[in-house]
Amino acid sequence: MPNIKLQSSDSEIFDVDVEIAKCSVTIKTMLEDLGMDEDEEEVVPLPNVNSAILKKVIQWATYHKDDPPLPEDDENKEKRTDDISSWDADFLKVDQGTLFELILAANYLDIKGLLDVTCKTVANMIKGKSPEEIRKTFNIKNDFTAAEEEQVRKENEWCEEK
Amino acid sequence: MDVPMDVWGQLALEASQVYLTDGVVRSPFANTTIEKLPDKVLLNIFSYLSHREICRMATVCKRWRLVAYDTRLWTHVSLRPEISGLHVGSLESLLALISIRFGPSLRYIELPIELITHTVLHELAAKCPNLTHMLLDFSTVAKASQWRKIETRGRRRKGRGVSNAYYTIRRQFRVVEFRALYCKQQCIAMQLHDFSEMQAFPTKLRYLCICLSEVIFMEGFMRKIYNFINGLEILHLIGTYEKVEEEEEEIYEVINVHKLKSATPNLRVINLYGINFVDDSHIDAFSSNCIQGRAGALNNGRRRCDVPGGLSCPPRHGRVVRIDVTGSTMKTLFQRSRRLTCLLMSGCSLQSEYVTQVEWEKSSIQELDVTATDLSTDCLIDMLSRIQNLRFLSAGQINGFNDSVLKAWMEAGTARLRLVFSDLSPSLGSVYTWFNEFKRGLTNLTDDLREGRPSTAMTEDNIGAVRLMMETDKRVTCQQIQTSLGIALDVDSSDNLTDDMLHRFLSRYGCQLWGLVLSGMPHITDQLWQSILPALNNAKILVMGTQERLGVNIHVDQLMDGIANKCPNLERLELRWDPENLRFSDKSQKAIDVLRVKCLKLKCLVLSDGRYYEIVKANFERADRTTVVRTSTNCRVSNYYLLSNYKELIFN
Repeated sequence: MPNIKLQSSDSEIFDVDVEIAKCSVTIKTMLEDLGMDEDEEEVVPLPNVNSAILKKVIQWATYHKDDPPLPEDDENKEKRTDDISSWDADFLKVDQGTLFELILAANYLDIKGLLDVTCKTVANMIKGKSPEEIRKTFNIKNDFTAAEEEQVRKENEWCEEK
Repeated sequence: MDVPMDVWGQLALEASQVYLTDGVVRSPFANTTIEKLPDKVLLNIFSYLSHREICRMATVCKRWRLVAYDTRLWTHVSLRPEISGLHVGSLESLLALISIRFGPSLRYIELPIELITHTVLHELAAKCPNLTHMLLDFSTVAKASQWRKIETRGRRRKGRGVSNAYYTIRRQFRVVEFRALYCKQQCIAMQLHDFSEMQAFPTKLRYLCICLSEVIFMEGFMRKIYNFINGLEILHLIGTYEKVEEEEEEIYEVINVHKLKSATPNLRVINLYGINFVDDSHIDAFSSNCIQGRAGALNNGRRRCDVPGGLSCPPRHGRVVRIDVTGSTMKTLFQRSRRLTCLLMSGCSLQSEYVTQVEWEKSSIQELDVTATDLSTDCLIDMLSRIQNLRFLSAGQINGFNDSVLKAWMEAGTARLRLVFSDLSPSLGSVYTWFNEFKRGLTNLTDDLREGRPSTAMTEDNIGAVRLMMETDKRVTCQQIQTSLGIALDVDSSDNLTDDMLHRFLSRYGCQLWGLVLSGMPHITDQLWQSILPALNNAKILVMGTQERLGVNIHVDQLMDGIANKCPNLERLELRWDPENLRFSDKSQKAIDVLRVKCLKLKCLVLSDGRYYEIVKANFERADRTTVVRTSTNCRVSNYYLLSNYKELIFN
């Protein structure tokens, strides 16, 4: 299997199997667009991903390289969050900062599988919490004025269980 | 992964503490907070939350509010609180939601009776141009049955003569009268709204599901919408399937099927589920409609007519719901709609003589469900030997389905099936050849087939099928083509079949079967299954066992082991035996392991609640396949998954 070189934002170079690297649509299109020859020793720069995160992404992609392609987004398919595999759950037992960095990397590199599983993880963190708990968990500032808060509460009260 | 919520909470907490404690930055990425995520990603995260949670998240901060109001999160909305939908308290708030939150993204909506008003429908028509699927629930079961009790009491008091007159009056005044009655009975403020003002209705509907109430006459409403629904392709009319609990309950034809059909010329799929007034004339009505539909030359869709076929609901509580369809118009139905491929008529009062009159040999029927009917042995033999391309047969709970039927089918019907499938074992080979021929542009294969070939007509049918599939999806593989030629057989509770005959039948044709349901027969035990498993190597769905307590025990470990080794493609499996009858040893874990590892496609394993269920469930949970194992109280396996238009037949 031919390899390609990926360069992280902090200039570390990773030698990766092309097939694994191609799980990133961004890299895949880049290779296709540039018509990169597989023999060439070219380095693909990834200025938005640092080495620690890139390492984790490669680790994830290597483990999932033989996964069947994800089904096209089915409109009627129920979105569920209880189907995270135990390997992924272990893999994502990281601090919030790393988790969000992984999401950003998956988003930038366009790796749907990784993006989905990380987003599911965050959704699971959100589920069942009150807005106040959410703010505390994610360190979010409540930027509503009292009047606005009342307004938005009113807008959404229909949704709460009666 | 089924991790209890508090674990996630704990995880979130730990994750946040890593860098929050005392300002000591421990993670290198402590500065990356959720606020750094682009809106697109936040939207993706929100898409995994329920609508109720999304609303709660809107109050977190301004940015989250914006994302939570994104119309893309509101494409499928259910407003039926009884069926895990959202509860909208007032019409005003719904009207606001439709324009602000749903907008053009809305594609599917479920409305309960109290929210079906002309203003709401006007708003939907005006603001939601992409609304293609709609469910209108007029049933609201609890209230209807409550009402019925009051009504019954009233009737007793008044005496029969009076009550009959009173019903006649009500029938004349229909909706209006109904409302008055409600007020009079002071029975909850639920009423059917006035639609006389209604001018607009969503026009792009392809799918409409109407849950009928037994006591609400729909005509006033329907008259208003006929003009808007001619693009409809899929129609579900769902009854309350609660029929006849008390004496001489009267049945009302609450919706005019004849008028409805003339308003919907493009129907492809019709599902009349659990409606107690359906009879042959209604089937006839829909079949005459088929003609009109086909006149528009483009109609190559498969038309199916589903008379109370239960997809998710077999007759409840063992009560068989009888529907007065005798089949007297089946002959015309098939004459008019040659393309009808699927007919599900379980629980209908079919009469053998009518069924025999159908020109089965000219029909293109492929999927047939006659479960729980009174068809005679002769009729079944006749029918099965004349239908040529049957790939799905559900014929459980029929006394007439006995050994001679199976035998005759083997000699005539299935023998043809065999021809159609042209020696099943090498069928992949022959299909492969057809496939290749098509790639080369050859369209007439008849001459190229070797001796002993099937009759011309049938080959052409097959070619048609193969070509159709290739046209629809050029990437179709040979595997898939072979797949759609597979057949399913359901002979639930057919006590008149002997195990010997089943054995002979299945060992010969088992390899064609994708789905096999041999349940509800006490004499079919693991012994028979063990003997036929080698033939069932293509099976995807298997249902075995009976809930009756047996005199013998089922050696479930060996059975599981056999299934695991013989059926690598298995997707759904149900063992209905009473837990007391399941005998297992300390080696059972090993057998379950084998099943789990060999049948990787298994997504549903249903067992009766008991010790064995616990063992299997624990085993699958350890391997993180938590959703696979379920109890028979909340899940039932049937062959219906194999119907080619299964998706279009499901309703909520």
